[in-house]
Amino acid sequence: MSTPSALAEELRGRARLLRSKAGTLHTNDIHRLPLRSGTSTWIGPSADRFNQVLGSAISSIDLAVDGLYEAAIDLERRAKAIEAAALATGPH
Amino acid sequence: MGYLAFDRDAVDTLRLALQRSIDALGSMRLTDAAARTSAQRIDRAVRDLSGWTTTMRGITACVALAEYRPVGKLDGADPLAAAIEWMLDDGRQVVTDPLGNGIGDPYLAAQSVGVVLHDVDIEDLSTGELERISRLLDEVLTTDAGRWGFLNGLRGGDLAELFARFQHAEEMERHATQGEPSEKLAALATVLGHIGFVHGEVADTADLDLDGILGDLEPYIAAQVLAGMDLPPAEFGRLAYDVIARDLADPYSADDALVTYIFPPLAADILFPVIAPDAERSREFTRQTLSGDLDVLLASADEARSLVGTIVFNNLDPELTDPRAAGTIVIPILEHLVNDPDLVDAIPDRDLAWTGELLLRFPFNFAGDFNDWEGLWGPALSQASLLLIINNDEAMKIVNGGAAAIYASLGDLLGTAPMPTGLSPTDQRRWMKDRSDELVELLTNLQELEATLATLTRNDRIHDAERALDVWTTVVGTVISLLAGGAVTATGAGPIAGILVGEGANHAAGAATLALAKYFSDHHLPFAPPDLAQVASDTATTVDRKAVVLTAVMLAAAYDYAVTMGFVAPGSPPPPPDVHVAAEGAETICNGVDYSEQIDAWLETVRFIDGNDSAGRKILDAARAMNTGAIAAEHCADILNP
Repeated sequence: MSTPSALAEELRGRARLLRSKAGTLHTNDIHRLPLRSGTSTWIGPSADRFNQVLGSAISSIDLAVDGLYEAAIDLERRAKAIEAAALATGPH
Repeated sequence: MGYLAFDRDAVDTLRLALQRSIDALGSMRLTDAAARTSAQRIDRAVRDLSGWTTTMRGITACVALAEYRPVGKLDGADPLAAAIEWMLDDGRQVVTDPLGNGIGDPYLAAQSVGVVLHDVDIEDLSTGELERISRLLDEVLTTDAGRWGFLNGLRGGDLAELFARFQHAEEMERHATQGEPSEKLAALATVLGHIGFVHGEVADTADLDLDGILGDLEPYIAAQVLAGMDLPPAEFGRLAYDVIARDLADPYSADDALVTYIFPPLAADILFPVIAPDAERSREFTRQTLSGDLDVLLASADEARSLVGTIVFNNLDPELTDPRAAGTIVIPILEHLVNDPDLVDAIPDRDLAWTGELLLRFPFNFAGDFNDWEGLWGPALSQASLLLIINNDEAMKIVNGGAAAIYASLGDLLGTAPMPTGLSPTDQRRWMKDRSDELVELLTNLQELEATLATLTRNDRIHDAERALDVWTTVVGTVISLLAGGAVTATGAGPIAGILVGEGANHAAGAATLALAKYFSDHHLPFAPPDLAQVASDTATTVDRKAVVLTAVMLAAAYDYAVTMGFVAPGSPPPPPDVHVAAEGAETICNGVDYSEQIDAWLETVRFIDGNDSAGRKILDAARAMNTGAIAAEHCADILNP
């Protein structure tokens, strides 16, 4: 059985990983694609449709990034709570 | 049927970049339960985008996909096809597009037309091509999105440049056909007329509903369109007012994302440069603002605000034959400014410098009731307007530099020319009386202006007290020099020195004026009486002393004038010199009272020429009006009981 300290550290490790993934996702080249998909590249219904899909996809990615950061924050909060509880009930 | 125009290399680049993004997204391993929602969102994005790499590859590889068929020579009657046809010349390729009609989104469609028109050599267009352009514009300019897209396609919204090229093409065609109507000329005119540019000799603007055409366009575009139009000035001024008023009412009605393409300039910045050089356009435009919203004139421009003064002055008769009519234009404008201090604060001094020109043109109309604008405004507004000008650094530069202009404008008014020969005795008397009345009016106006400046200064409302002195030396000083016939210069010691030691000192008043000259010289004063240099002082003593000095100067000048004009006999005793310079240490507590008594005594000794004594007395009374016994007593009471 893990000690409270080990459990808290595990949660923090997961949070670090999620933050790292969020950073990677945030810098994905998809955010620069609209610059390449303007009227100097193509004009027409298909171009319009692609740009709509691309905009929607970028929004999804942005939401995913936010979700990862929020999850990381939640994990860190739980780690802190575990440590605090252990401190309160620990040996006198 | 829809069409897709594309740049092969650019789409390939887009496809490769898209693939890299998809690969990177797909390689992310989000196994943590806490990241489940995020993982689902990423998966959905990847799924939505993945099919597009195949589509793009099919387009650029000219694979014989049923949906994206290469397009060759298109039907010239189809306006959208015409646009695409030109795109082909731009190195692009065109295929049919199964995902929609036309060339897609109205904004992008219009943008593509703008791009084409930006690049096309208009002079090389055939009649048929011009007709197709017309139909194309007919289609793309019908919606807001289309109009913005069109501007964007023109690379920064340079519609004026487009007009210029069309106009040049029209001129070339006219030259080629020796002015004879041709189908191409007519087609050009149709195109230009359709987007607002109508050459008067090609198309009849009377048949166009310009209010409707411009009213449907965004103000910025309407301004661009109107700026290139050759319309009757009155109609132009009216339409310009409507366009700018709309712009002022809602300058950012467009999607914010598009604003960057069009602001600045504002509609007024486009139209003022074509209004200001034309007097008739200026007059109609001003008339519209006077009966509508004066903010359209004063607050709607940013870059072109400096042209407001030009537009205003285009309304004024350069000969000033009807100054009262000028007042009906100038006064509402000044009132608008005076009543909107926030607006004045927001406008740089240089853009209101033209108000200084107003003061130069109508120096006495800013003082009291003795002016051509009597009844058009009251003292409160005239004083506030004077303050507006005096407190503007740039306006005062114009005022200070304008002494010569005042001299020129008032020269005729004063009428110091010799009496014409051959007049009957009755006409001679009339001529003399007219001269006398003019001088009395001028002296009265001078004193009114001085009194207004003194009031403003005493009330401490002039931010820099020297400003009042500036106005005095420019306006009053110049006019006094005119009275005495002295040499006038725009700057330096000219005006007053002219009174004191110039040709004007040839008459009996010479002794008095020379005494004043000595005083100024001894005190190293350039041209203004010393008390005026302390014009900021709010003490009663200063007011009293200034009245004395001014009266002495004006009395001496008026006396010289009266002698010159034959109202007073040569050799008659000169007026008493200012008590300050009569003798060292001659000052008393109430100099004005002493001096007034001296004037009263002197007036008893003046020898008027028979028949002109009434006019002569009027002149001298007017000259001493600032320091009458009653006024001097008031000043004295203020000194003794501050």
